Amino acid sequence: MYTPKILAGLMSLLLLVSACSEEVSPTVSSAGEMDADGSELVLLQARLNDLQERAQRLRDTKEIKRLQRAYGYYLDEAMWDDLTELFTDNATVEYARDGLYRGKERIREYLYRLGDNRSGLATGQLNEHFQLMPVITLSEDGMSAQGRWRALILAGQYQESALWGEGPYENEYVKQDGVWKISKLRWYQTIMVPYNGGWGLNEDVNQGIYVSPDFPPDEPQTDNFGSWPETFLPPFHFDNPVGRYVPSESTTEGEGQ
Amino acid sequence: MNYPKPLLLICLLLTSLNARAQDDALLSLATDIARAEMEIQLLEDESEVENLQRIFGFYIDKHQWTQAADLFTDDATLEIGGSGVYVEKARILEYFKRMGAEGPQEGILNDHMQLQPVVHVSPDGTAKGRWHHFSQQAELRVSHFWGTGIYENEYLREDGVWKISKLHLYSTMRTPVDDGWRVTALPRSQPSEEFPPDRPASVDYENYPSVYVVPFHYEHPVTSPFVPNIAVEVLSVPTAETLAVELEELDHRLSRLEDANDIERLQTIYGYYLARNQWDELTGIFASDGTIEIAMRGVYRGAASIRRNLNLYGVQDELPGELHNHMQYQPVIHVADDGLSANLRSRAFSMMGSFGNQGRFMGGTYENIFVKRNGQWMMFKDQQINTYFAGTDDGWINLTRSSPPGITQSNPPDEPPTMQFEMYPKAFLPPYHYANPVTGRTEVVQ
Repeated sequence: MYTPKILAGLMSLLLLVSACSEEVSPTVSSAGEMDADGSELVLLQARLNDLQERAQRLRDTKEIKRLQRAYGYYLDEAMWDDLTELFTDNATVEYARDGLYRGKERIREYLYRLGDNRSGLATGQLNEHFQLMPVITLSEDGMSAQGRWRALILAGQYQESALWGEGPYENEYVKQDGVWKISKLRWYQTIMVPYNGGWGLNEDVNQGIYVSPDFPPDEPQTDNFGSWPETFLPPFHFDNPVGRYVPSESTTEGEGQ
Repeated sequence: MNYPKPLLLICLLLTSLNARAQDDALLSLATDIARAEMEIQLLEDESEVENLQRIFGFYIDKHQWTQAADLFTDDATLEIGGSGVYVEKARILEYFKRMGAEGPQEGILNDHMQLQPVVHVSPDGTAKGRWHHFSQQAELRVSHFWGTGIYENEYLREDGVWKISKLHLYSTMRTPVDDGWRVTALPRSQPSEEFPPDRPASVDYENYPSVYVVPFHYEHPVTSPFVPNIAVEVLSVPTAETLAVELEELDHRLSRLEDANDIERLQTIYGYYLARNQWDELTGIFASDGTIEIAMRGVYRGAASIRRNLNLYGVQDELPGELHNHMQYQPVIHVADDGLSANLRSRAFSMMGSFGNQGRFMGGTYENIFVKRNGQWMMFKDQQINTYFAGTDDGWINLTRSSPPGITQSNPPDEPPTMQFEMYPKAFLPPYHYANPVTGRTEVVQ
């Protein structure tokens, strides 16, 4: 790939040469009869640069998806050390209503406490956390990104509990030395309810509180959301990509299912 | 123009240098373009492999065994649960056929969701993918199950077409709906005696309630990131015209990938807005002449009608004690060559209900159309075909024949429904917008 300096040098050389070639013609080149003059080459290079940049942005989006999905597979198996290594050194995590934990080592300890201070699942433990519905938004410079996801959860302990869970993430990512990492993880617990009776007949089992009573967070819960059957709309990091509808006449609301 | 002699000499010298420099510049540019071509190829490959696995899932749902088996290479292997390894396409087809008659069957639910892909493609035309498997299976008045698992699959590109070369589904958990995973954990499957596998199971493990970590095909993405080994070499000096044509073609291919990315994102955003009754936001993602047709309620055409249709599902932005989580999974996207329209098939899976009453699951299929206008993708046709509505505790076992909600007289559609269907336990195959990506077959094999 050309650096701008080399490009500038190449351009001025070609400009000088094309001035010369008015006198000394025809230009001879092994490239064939249709010769690339300087400006044409510069144009081609510019088009290539554009393609490379766009391809890189798509690759970044795909890498961020892989990163969050890898997070899900580690979480399924309570692989806390692998999970921790997905974060930047000064990342923050905030699950449900447990408050915010800052920095890799605090995150590691938080995760271990989630998993009863052991690495890997205990016998009879189910911890499926499907990572679904990515909406990834890359920054202009391609060095950071935001992502909304939804987790669908099947969790529990054989002979003790079975739970349905669900909730969206609003996460942030940064690229460091060419590698994407999670810099901020925020998960909103819509429901965490017993299998029997589901969300229709049960309130949230833990009101979104996991380990914070024994392991206080670095900062309290950063937003004002409660637990099922209370509902909350986690803010979107993105605007409507097409544009919100503006009604021209009044519509009748809520005519039932 | 008359140059002084020394300058003329310099010019003569430069002209010969010029030829060399131009050749070098062209060669260097051609090499960079070849590299970009390979990078774009890898992005296309990743999308095609994801489409392939998702297409496989939709075929399995509907017992389309021949269509599913045709997605495999001739010498592919298939290993599901503890059933052992079946080798070659013909044996794989036979394995599928022993799971039931070909084609969708009344009284049978066989939804197999293909979720959370982590796909890595190599420049040599091979790929590996890890997926989550989530299943809803039922036989009317006999049984119904939840299941989860992990795929670790391999893919091969043959003559430009991606195929599955190895499919390995590890069972994680399987339980009857009546009990759930607190009470009952079924063991993984055992090798068949009537139709024994060609090889024993490749790995010995027990599923839930035991713990088994399915080996990952990839290293840790942060501490050992995957870097495809791209090597390109351009030997002869191309003309600028050739390079311009190549760039044009790459731009075209990359644009279609960007389109697919935008469309998947838009369909997902649709799901988020739907989940919270954000009706004005949701209406806004449709083209001004777009349509919505949900659950045989008929076709609502144009923004005002679409907005009016959404009133059928609740009051805008108001959801106290309501769960209305409409998830969007497993998109199969095909963008038209001109980049102005696209089709998407995807899966609907919903968790719905009001606190105080039994909640419901809803399964279904979308066949949607998107259009690009003024450089912006928008939804043009939104059609959702329900597979079932089922109570969280009742499940599917005793569902009775029922049609989807249909037309609401007080808020009628602009046009009648375009498709008639009954939900499970009746069998219905929502038409595909695509042909089998390997054989090109479109008809349903009976």
